[in-house]
Amino acid sequence: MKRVAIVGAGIVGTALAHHLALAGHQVDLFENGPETPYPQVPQYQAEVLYANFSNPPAEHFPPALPPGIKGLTQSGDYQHVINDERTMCVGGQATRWFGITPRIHPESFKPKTLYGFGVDWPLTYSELEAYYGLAETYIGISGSNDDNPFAAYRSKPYPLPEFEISSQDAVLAAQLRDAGIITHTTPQARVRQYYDGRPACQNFGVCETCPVGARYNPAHHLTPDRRSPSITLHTNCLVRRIILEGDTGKGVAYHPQHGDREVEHRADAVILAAGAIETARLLLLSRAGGIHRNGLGNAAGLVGRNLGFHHVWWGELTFEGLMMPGRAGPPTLMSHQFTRPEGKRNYGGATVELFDTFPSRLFDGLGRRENLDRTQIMETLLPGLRKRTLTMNAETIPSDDKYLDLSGPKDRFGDPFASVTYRLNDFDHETYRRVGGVAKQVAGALGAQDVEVFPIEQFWSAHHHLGTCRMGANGRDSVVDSFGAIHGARGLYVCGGSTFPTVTPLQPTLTMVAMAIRTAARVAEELNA
Amino acid sequence: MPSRRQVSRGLILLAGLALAPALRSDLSNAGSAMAKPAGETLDENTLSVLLVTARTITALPVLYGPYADYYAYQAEKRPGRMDIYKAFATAVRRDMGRTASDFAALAESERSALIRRIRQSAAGWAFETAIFRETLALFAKTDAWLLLGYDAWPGQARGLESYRLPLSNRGVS
Repeated sequence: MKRVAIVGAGIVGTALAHHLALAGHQVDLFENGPETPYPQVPQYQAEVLYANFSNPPAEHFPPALPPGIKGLTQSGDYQHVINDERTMCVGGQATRWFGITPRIHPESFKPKTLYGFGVDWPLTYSELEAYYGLAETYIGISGSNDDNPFAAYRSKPYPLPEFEISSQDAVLAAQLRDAGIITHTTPQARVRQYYDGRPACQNFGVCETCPVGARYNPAHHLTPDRRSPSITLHTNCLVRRIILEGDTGKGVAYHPQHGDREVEHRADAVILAAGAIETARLLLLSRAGGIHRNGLGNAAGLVGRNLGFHHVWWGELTFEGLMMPGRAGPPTLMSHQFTRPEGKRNYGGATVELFDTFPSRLFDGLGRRENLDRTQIMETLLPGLRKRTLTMNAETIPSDDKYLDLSGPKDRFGDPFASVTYRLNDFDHETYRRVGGVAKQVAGALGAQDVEVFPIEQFWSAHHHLGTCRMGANGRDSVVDSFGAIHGARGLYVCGGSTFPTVTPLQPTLTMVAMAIRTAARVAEELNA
Repeated sequence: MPSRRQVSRGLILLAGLALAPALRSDLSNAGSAMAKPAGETLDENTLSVLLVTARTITALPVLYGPYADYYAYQAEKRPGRMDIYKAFATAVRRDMGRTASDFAALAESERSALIRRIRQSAAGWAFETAIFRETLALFAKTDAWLLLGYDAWPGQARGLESYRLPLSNRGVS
């Protein structure tokens, strides 16, 4: 039995821990934030059932970290607060997500070869296919390829049947089909039936805070009856440095948030799975000798570069008839038809989702407005019944103006926070223009009275921060290899979205977990050698 | 020619009347059974005043949203909220000059007038956010949805297959 230190207890870190423990190794899992209750009943109470205005800080999920622990500065075009998008707790952002989990398409692994932009991934879909299957079984994915002609091939069926489309969506799907737009169901990380101790979804409609555990939360694999005794969870611990001896990773140095001294933890292998921002920051903070003098794996100066956000643009369709949105949770209707648009080269593709949510701008904060009575509330809500939300998840490519460095202010221990610069490039602008065209096409097919696509600068990352530790064949053009092993080091790995060479139109989470299972297998093999 | 606002009010009223009693019962149970707060609960009289107030300001003959659980949760979790609730019940009793349990027996117009007097009183500001606006906010995300024609509000267990069926209760059409 060897010891593995994993930094970050999000969906990637917990998957790594689970599989390495299964392989017979002792795992220490370090998390900057706390554990939060699972199933998420208290969060559901505080945020859905009983929340109107603000709740006391103790009821925030996860609770705010002490000052000087979580920080980030940002500049450029991104208007959302990146710091707020980083959920630091056990389970990470997967404690608060819709759980849409498609496999990314085989051609997305070769954008340079096929379309002339970005870089090719150092692994193929075929190499990852079996791990996709393992990830789907591990998480419990409900889905089907039967109605999706654009889906990647698969060697075995989904572990659970799909969430079929709603009655309203069936009408819309038929209209779209008549106009040549093919829609299909969405693979989701919520269980259609009882699965691995999780109850079947009861359609609370608030998947991001599922109170019963039907929607996957990494904490599921850390519950007492599932957590391996070989996993030790260290919460509220800020890992500050990777310990290196020569070019070999030997552990981590961490500071308990409430402790007064740094602690060294020795390990035979170290895996960083702390998200694209904290992982890159930790590599840059962990300066050593030789090729690592500017940060671990940073011989080519690529750590922090190639940052990519998922670009999500929202839109709104207005209809003459009633749509009655908000009866299901996440989208049950999606189209991958536009992920490979004709002439794709100077612009990227996008998914199109008919999101089944009530327009939040009509709904949020309604009771907070002064002097609003019951009748006025109803009148404010009424227009929402004729709307459908459209979301378009677009791909993007790296550029020189998308990066992070350590020019931010200092944290409580004197280490600089990351600073993110993110500016849209020509590819992004052209992709947005195309996305607007798709929205109009969808609106026309559905006979919508009006379609509004939010302005380009309102793009949203969907919490998908990717890149910064790009994988590739060698240390000249990348930070890690396809297994996440840091070039020029031994016993040191990076895992998660931070290693993605490009940002595809499809949601990245399942791919991150599949890659984590693949990395765990490789690390176990090397430790056993 | 009725105004748009008048039409909306009519539709909303019709929608409220259209709610099937059996459905109401199911929803009422499903909404609150999931997660009742533990610990200290409001006394019966105070809770009764709050619930009658909620019925009055939302103009609902019956409440289906989890109002009682909501007030109990706020009283338990929010510092000072229990005191505000009790002070409000006291203000209602004072205004009536009788016991708070009689509040429910008043005609709706009398209750509305009483609430208006308290809101306009010197102490009214203390209740404005904590009680009136919070209650309307809860209404906006629960009972308002039923009035709009939905068979459940967001956050309520609706059964997995319900979204695949056409709405049985179209309040607005």
